[in-house]
Amino acid sequence: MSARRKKQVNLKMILICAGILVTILIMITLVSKLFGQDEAVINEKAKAKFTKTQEAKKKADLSGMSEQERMTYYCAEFFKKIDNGLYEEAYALLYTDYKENFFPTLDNFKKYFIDYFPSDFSLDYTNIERLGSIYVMWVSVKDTVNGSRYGKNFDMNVVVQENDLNDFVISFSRDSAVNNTREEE
Amino acid sequence: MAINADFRLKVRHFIKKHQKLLVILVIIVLLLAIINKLFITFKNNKVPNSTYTPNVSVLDGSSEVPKKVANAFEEFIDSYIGYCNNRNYVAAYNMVSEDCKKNFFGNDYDSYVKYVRQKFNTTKRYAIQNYSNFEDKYIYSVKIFDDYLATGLTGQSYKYQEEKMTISYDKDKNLVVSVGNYIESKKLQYMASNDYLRAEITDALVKYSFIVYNLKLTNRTNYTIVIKDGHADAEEVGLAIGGEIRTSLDDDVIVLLPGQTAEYAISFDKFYDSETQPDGIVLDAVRVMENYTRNPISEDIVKSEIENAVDKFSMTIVF
Repeated sequence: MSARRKKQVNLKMILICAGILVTILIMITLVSKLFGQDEAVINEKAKAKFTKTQEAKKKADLSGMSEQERMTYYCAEFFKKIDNGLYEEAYALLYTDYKENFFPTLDNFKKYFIDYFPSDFSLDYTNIERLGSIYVMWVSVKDTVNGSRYGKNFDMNVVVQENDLNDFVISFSRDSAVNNTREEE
Repeated sequence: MAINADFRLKVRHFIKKHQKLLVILVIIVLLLAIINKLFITFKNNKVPNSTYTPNVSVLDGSSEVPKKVANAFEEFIDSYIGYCNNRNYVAAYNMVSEDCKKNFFGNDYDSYVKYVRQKFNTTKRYAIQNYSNFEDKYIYSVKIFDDYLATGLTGQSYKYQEEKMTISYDKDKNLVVSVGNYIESKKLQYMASNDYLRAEITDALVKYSFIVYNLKLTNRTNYTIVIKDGHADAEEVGLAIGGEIRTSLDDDVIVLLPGQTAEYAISFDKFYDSETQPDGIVLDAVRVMENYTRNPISEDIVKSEIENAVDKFSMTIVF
């Protein structure tokens, strides 16, 4: 057998081996995808993957923000949950000691917002101060439905501690909204 | 299924022939995998950016607490405040420098406890910021405040107490802290005298933003000597520093009866880390009086007594 022919055979053999390997890998992937898991598990995994991607995107966005922007974002996230009726998710963001001090149950928390907060509101961030690992914010709550004259409008403090990107705990001056309602009465 | 002998030979031959190339390929693949892994880890480990630099001096951005000790200093302050919060006053007191214990608290443990209780009447949080690094002392500005995260500032107004805590090493190379803005005490030996008056500076207590001198005065006459009563036109007691005279921060009246020796603590604004050093203490309106009314009912009496003074002079205790 000539050297050239030998080389051709070698190359052929390598290509065949590679082809076989790739085919096996594709088959293993297909089989595991189609028969290995039921639809619910696949959906769950897809959902988890989506959440993870969203989380990563959020973190990437936050990593490019200044401290003030991040704190404003966290504060807005918390009140967005309240505005959307996601009380349980918002409740989970409260600092543990604060929760114990002022809202021992989720019902307390929910009732507070229903009783004292406007049904639709916007937030104005007027000042922010950092004290070591915590940030104190001065926030104006504006009643967007009933306006400045008839609505529930008040200033409050929001305190945020950032543990990591998109990982934070929060508390706020509970009496600000309560006092405002009492004044109105 | 038996593998064809010829095929095996070919594979073996191929491997043998391209051994080096294969090794290089494997190394490249491994390197790529490692780099990829590192890149993913780095990408996922982004930390929140912050302008908070607790170990960089506020006064001089180029001055920084050395990295090898910065953590130890932070932990030391953290432990100290932890003890104060947990009312473990003995442990906290043991962390205070001997100099601070002696000259700020008069070696009185009870007075230290009183001081701490006043500051830590409830559980406090704190925030530190390196303020200045001068000589062998690391001065931190420590803000002490209520646990606002636990209260959300409900029923509270935003406020904090600020004090300078100075970290240094004692003679056994252990970390110690000086609290309450106290920095150090110095033994001094400066003196000025004439036929009427002898003035000595025996020591000074240095706080971060001011200095307190111990001024010992002896009246060597049979007259009353008035040094400070607010009735002279000149700066009665001042600190000569950098071409200016700084006014004493105290309101004390300094009047010596015939033959009397007395000590006075006189304070002046002076930052510990200022490069400008004092030149001396100026007693600029010393009056030797035959008649002196402590609480004159009119300016005329004051004028007349000063005009009839036995002598008037200025004295500087030069450093």
